[in-house]
Amino acid sequence: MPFVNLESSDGDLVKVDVDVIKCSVTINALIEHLGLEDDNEVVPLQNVGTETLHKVLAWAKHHKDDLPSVDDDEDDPPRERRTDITTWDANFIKMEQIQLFDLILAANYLDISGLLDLGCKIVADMIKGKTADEIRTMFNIVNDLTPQEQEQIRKENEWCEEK
Amino acid sequence: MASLVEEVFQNGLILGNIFSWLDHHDLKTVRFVCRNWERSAGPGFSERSRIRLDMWQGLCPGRERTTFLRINKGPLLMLGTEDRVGDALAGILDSFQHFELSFTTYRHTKLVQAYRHLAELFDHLRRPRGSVTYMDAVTFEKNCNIDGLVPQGALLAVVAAQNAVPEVHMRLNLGGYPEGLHFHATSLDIDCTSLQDNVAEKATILGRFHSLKSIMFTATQGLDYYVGFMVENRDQFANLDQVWVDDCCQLKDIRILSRLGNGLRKLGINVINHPRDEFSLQDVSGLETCLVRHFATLRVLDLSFNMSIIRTWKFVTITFPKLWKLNLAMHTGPNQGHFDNLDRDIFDIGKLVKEARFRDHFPLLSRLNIELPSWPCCPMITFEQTVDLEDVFDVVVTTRYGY
Repeated sequence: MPFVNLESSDGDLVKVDVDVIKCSVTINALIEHLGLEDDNEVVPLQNVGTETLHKVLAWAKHHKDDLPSVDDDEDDPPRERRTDITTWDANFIKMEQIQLFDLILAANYLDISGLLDLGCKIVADMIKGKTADEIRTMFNIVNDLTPQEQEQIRKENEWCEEK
Repeated sequence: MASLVEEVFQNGLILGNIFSWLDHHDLKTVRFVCRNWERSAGPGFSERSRIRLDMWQGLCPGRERTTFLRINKGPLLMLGTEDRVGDALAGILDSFQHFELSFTTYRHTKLVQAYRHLAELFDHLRRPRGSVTYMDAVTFEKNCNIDGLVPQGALLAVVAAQNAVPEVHMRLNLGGYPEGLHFHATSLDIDCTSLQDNVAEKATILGRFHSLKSIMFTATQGLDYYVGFMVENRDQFANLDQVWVDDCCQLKDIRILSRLGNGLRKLGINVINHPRDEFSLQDVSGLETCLVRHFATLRVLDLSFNMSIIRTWKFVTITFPKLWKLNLAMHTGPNQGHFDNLDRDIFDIGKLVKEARFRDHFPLLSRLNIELPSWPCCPMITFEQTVDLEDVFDVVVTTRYGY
């Protein structure tokens, strides 16, 4: 079964190479669970709209040959967690905030760790260097911490060091 | 839009992922955003926070305060005889999981209280979810406990708690230990400079240590006896894969390390010598024998030479199939302080690069740190060879001059 039909929450069908979408743990599980055996059967994705699904598939197609990560040997040279973003990914992820958050939710639902990491990195970049007030304003978040809780955090932050 | 943002930020897994890309400073900031963010940032913040607790015995026997406890550079708690550690901490460590601990005692009558406070601290830190991940035990030194000041039961309880810590650093007490004490320590410092008599007997103190992964010797007096003991009891030292020798005056003493049963993963030797001493071939062969024994397993090799020599030597036949880091500090010279053109490239790295055979000898090397004397001298490898190492062989090279 080289192809599978994915049905978006808008009801659109998108035919995709199974090899491309193998990065999605959710779709792999659905294919297995539903016992799909031919190219005409449909995998329903109730939480992913058509536009977002196309974005997900574009990312998956570009990354289909990526190697899985491997564990480090304790004595081997340290490998830093990659915080840089490739040029392709940087161009891919240039989108409106609403699309970015939609993509993050889709990546999370479809369990595509590479795409989820990419989206989360971008949100983390938005947060970096900002004050708590600026972050609240940017994302319209209400501060519900009591003065006592804030004082406790302030004390811990004051003497706590990075490992 | 608002609900979409809310949906993302209400998802603890996604929020945790976002926070995982932030540094410690930004994590401190996001804890102030709202209760949900503080909750989600908590585990990552705790994981990446270093909480070091230094507990030491008060030095004034007459004072009521008997034990001091400092948390990082923050609060200093003073504990009296009647004080309980858990009460004094008042929940300030509750958000954290991983702790590093150091404990120092001195000889006088408040010793018992210090051990009681340490036992209480262990209990407090190991409450649900908490663990001590590292301990620097400047305790069990010769004047602390062998004169019976601390009840045997209290000592055993503290050592049992310490033995459950995954990484423990200790210093060997050549004066001996009370009966029944055995240590699961990962690293041990052995200061051989004070070793004068009964060396063979003193070396058997190593029998008290289990799980050792790393040993640092200062000087090499008695090295034969210590290594001899480890060779005879090789099962006990099965985890040992790192040996460091500091202040090594006699390089020939290093030969004994070739008898270690395990192939070492990390080896560091810092050779010092009187400026007028001459280095003999016998000395060099001691190091060569050691390298030949361990070449196949070494990941990190750290060699530092601080002495006067008129010519160097070469280890050109040894290959290092797993070595990824090589530190070479060559503070050597025939007439220290004056210009010389001594060839300090003891592994012939420059020649290997020039002849494109570098990877035959160092297939995995990715870091080469070179230290040269502060006085004018020939570079160990040329600028062109350095460029080739970095561009062709993907090795990060650093060169420093002086101490």
